[in-house]
Amino acid sequence: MLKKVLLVVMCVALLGTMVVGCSAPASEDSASVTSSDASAAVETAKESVEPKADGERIKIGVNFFNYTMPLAQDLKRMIDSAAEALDCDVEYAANDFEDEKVVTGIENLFASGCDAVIVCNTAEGQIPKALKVAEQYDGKVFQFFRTLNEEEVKDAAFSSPYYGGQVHEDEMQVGYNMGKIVNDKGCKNVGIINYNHGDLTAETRYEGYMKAFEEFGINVVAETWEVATGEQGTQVTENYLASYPEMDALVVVGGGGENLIGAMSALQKADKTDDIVLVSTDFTDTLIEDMESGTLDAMSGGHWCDPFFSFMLAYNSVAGAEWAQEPVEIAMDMIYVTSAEEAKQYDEWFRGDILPYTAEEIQQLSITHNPSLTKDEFIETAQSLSLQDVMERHADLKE
Amino acid sequence: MKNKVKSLVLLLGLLVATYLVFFILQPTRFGSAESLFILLQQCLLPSIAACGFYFVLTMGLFDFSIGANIILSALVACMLSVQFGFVGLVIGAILVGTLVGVANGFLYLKFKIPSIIATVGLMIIYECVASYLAGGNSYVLAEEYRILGQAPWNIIIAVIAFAIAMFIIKFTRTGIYIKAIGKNEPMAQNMGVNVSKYKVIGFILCGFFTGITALLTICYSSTVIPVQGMSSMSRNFTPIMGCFIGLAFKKYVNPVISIIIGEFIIAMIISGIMTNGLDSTLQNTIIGVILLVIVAAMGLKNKGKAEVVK
Repeated sequence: MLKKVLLVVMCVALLGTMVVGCSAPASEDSASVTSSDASAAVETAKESVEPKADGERIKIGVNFFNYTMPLAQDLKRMIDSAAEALDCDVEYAANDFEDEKVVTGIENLFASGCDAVIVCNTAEGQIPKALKVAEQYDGKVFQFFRTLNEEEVKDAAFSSPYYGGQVHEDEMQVGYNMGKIVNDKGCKNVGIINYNHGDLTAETRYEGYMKAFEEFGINVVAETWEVATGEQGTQVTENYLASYPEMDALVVVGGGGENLIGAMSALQKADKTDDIVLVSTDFTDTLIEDMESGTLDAMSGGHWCDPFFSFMLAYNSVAGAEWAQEPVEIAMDMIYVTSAEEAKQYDEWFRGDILPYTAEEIQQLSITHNPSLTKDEFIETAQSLSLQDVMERHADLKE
Repeated sequence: MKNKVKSLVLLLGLLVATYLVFFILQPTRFGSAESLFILLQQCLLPSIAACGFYFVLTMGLFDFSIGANIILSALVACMLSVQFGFVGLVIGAILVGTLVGVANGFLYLKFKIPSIIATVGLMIIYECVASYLAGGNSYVLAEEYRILGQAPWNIIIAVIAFAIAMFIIKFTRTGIYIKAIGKNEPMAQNMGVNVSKYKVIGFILCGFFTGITALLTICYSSTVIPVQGMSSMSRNFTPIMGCFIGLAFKKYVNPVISIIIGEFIIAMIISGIMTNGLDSTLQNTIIGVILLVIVAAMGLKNKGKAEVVK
C-alpha cells in the first residue's frame, strides 16, 4: 500500500515538474550558448529593457565568489549600506569561483525577481550565456572586478541591450604601479609568486609588473604560478631564499592573501624581512602590523568599492537613468599603501564605522535622489576614489 | 632478501637520480646542504598525512577528506591557541583530526557506501564547517607558537609520528589485521578478524596522522583559510602520491620509509623545476608521470604475485 502511495506521489511530482518546466522561459538555449555565438545572442535581442516604473521597488542581484573572504565581506557591507540608503532590495548568490555556478546563479537571481544582476564572472565565455538569461527575464547584467578582452565577446556585449557595463581595476596599471614601487625601493632582483594561469586578473597584473620591470631594468630571478595556499607560499619563498641569495624583492601578484601570509611566514622564519622587499595586492587583515614590522613594504587593495559602483550603475539603469541605458565602462584604481601610517589611515577611513560613502553620498549617486546626475559625474566620482579623497570628504564627520 | 635490497636500491637510486639531474642542470642553484635541509622539512608534512592515509589505502579504501580535515583541524587549533596556548594548539589539531577520522569511519560503515563517495560528501561538509567556524575571518597563528613548524621541533614531531606509524604497522595487532584485510578481506573475515572494526580504526588512524599534519601545517605557514567547493581536494594529492609510492614498495621496504623518500623526491622535483625556470604548471605533470612510472615499474616487478588494490 505504501509503495502505491509513494508511486502516485512520485508520478504527481514528475508531472508537476514537467508542467513547470514546459511553462518556464526556454532556458535550454542559454545552456548551449558559447562565447562564439555571442553575436547570435545579440541579434535576437532587438528590444531595450524597460526601466522600472515610478514607485516600484527595485531589486538588484549580486553574484559574487563567497561570503567568507575579507574582500567579499567588505563589498557586501558596502552594497548592503547602498541598498539601505536607496531603500531597494538586494539578493546575493555565491558562485565559489565555479564556472557553472556563475550562470546558474544569475538565472536564480533573475528568477527570484531581480531587475538587474551584477556579477564577478570567472571567464569571459559566461557573459554571452548571462546575456541570454537576462534576455529571457528582460533584465540587465553588469560586471564587476572583470573586463572583456576578447573582441568578439566585447563587441557583442556592448551592442546588447541586456549588458549594462563593467566596473573594474586597470590591472595592467596596478601591476605597473607596484612594479614602479619595487624600483623606487631600489630593488634589482625579483622573485615572483602568482596565482593560476588563465586567471585574467593574475595574467594582466603580471603583465603590468613585467612592463615595469623591463622599463626599469629589474631582473626576474624566478617565478612560480599556481601558488594558492599558505604552505605553498612558504615553500616557494623558502626555495627562493635558498636558491637565489641575490633576490632583494618578492612580489606576490595575487591569490586572495593566503599565499602572501605563507610567504611572510617564510621571510620571518629566515629573518629576511629587512633584506627583502615584499609587495602584493589584496589587503590582509593584519595590514597595519605587517607594515609596522617591515614584513610588508607596499600593498595595493581596497578595491571592494568596484562592486558598489557596479551596483549603483545597475540601480540607476533600472531606475531609468538615460545615460545608464547604454553600457558604461569604468576603470578604477586601487588604493596604494606604502607605510604603516597609510595602512592606519586606510583602516580608519575605509573600514571604520563610516564607510567610504555615506548614505547621503550614495543617494547623490542615484537619479532617484539626484535627477540631474550625469554619466560623467558618476564616472568621475568612481575614478576619484582614493585614500586622500575619502579623508577630505569625511574630515568633518570624524570630528 | 634479494628483492628487498633491489627495491631499496631502486628507491634510493630514484632519489639520487632526481638529485643528480637537477644538480647537473643547475649546480649553483640546486642541491646545496641548506636547500636540501629545507626540502627535507617541506616533505615532512605530506609524509605524515601519507602515513595516515596508508592505513586506509592498504585496505582498499580511500579518504578524500584529508585536505578538508587539515584545514578544519588547523583552523580549530589556531582558534584554541588563542584561549589555551600551546595545549590548545596541539590537542586541538590532533583531537579534531582524530574525531574527523572517527566520523569518517562510522559514517562509511553506517551508510555502506563506497569510501570515495562517503569521504567526498564529508569533505564538502568539513569545508563548510570550517568556513562557518571562521565566519569570514582569516586566522593567523601567533608568532610564538610557530616554533613547532621550524627545525628542530618539526623534525622531532615528524620522527615521533613516523615511529608511531612504523610501530603500528610492524608490531601491533591492528597493523597486522589491516594488512590482512588489504590482502584478502573475505579470508581475514573467515579467520575471525572484525573487518568493520578495523576499517573504522583505519579511518581513525588516518584522522590522527592528519591532525598531526594540520598541527605542523598551521605552525609552518601560520595561516589556513577555509575554502569551499571541494577546493581542499588539491591538498590530498601530495600525500596520496607519497602513499602510492609507499604501497608500491611495501613488500620490500617499510612503507613509512618509502613514503618519506617518495615525498622527498616530489619536493626535489618541485624545487628543481623552479630553479630551472620551468613553468610551474609542469610540476604536476612531471610528478604524475614519475608516479605512474614508479607504480607501473613495481607492478611489472610483482607481475603474477601482485596484490589487488581495491
